[in-house]
Amino acid sequence: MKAILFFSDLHQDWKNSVSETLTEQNVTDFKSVSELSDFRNLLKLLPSTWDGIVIFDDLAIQSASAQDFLMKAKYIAISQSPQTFVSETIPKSVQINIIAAHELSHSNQMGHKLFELALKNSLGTGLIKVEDLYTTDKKEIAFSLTNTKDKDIILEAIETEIQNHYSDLSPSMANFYAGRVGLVGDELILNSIFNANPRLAAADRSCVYELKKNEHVDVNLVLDKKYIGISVRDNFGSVDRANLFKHLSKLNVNEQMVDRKSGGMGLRLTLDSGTQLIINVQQNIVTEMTAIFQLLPSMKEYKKQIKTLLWAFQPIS
Amino acid sequence: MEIKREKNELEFVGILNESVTVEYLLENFHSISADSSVIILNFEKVKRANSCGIITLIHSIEQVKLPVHFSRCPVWLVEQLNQIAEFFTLNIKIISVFAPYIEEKTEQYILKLINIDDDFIKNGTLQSLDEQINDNGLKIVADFDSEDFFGFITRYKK
Repeated sequence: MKAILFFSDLHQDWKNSVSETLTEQNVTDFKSVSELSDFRNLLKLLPSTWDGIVIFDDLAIQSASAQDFLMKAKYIAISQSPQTFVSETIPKSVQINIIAAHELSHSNQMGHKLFELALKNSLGTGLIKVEDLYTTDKKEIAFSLTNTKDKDIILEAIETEIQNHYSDLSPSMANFYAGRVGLVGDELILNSIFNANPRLAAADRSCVYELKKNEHVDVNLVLDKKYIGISVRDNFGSVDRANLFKHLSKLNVNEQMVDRKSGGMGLRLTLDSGTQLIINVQQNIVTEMTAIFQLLPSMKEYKKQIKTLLWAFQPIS
Repeated sequence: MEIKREKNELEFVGILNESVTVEYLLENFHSISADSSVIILNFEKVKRANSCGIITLIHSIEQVKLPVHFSRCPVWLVEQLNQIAEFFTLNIKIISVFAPYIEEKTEQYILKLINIDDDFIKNGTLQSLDEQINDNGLKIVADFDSEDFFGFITRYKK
């Protein structure tokens, strides 16, 4: 087992924290590099199957080997500042399959916690336990969709719950969070109902469909003092890595997405609305996508947050 | 989503999502296109839109010959107008948006309607939006970065 970590501008204390975590897990064979040339050398040494985490920055994505690298890694963590998230600063000529990641050191506590959790989990099996990310003082509400019409009913209930639970925030901020969670929940549920399900992938989405038992979609809302989390789970485990990264790379160059159904646009809206997005996949068994929203006192502060995406994949054993 | 017509203005009410079809929107667009030079879409009462709804809206506007004006756009729509490149290829104009402000004295949140007319585009400065005086004479401070929030002004097709 190897965990290879690529750092760019991480603060030393966080580098130390990750190193300690690895050592606690008895992983001694890991490397931390800060120069692109060292990173390229590491790429050459990668085995055909590889477990670990890579943290990219915008230098790393210029590596032609990065795409292959990403297709091998079991865990991929990406962090990006919202200002540059959909920027057009990366020229179209750069053939990349991943968005840039940097400023991880400025990510919030949840971002750091998430990376550490992923790191520990990379040594085990099963899905990353998203529930471990929250504090013990939390409220959880579970929903299950048995037909497509349930989506709007559940989202309405979620929005109302957020507005009531965070009544100590200003009504506008409570509405702001309710709307954001509603939007992201909508996109994640749409993905689980239609994109993930081969029976409904090409279905007319304006119609109502009953979902068979194995097609039911589970939704979990967690309300914490610092964060709101929404997890959406389906029984397909079909999120396609290549497709995901194709969409992510398109976000950088701001290409048109309308002709590609809603996949690219839904992903963009999801990433832009939340603080963290965790895509947790057990191949052909389950997909659990979780969006986390950090609670802040103003919209302006919220918009400045650093975004994090974690892709965690367990292949068929 | 319900659509109410008032002269050449269509007021959308509800959620713009996958249940809204291109046919439904075009039927409403065509109901006013014969006797008007512009179609105004009022988004104030749209709670939110998902990607399916946005794509349907874009595809519908593409099929209309008349220019379409977006009126009373909520914050969520302003964010999407800034994120989604397809909007800027359409024959649309954003004529008014709700912007989030905080009243300095009371710390109350306020959504202020900002009209984006030709005078604003030619002569207005985004910095002037950072602080405003509310209708009650109190100072209000923007809860947004002006250049980000109003980024769409320089991008949409006039």
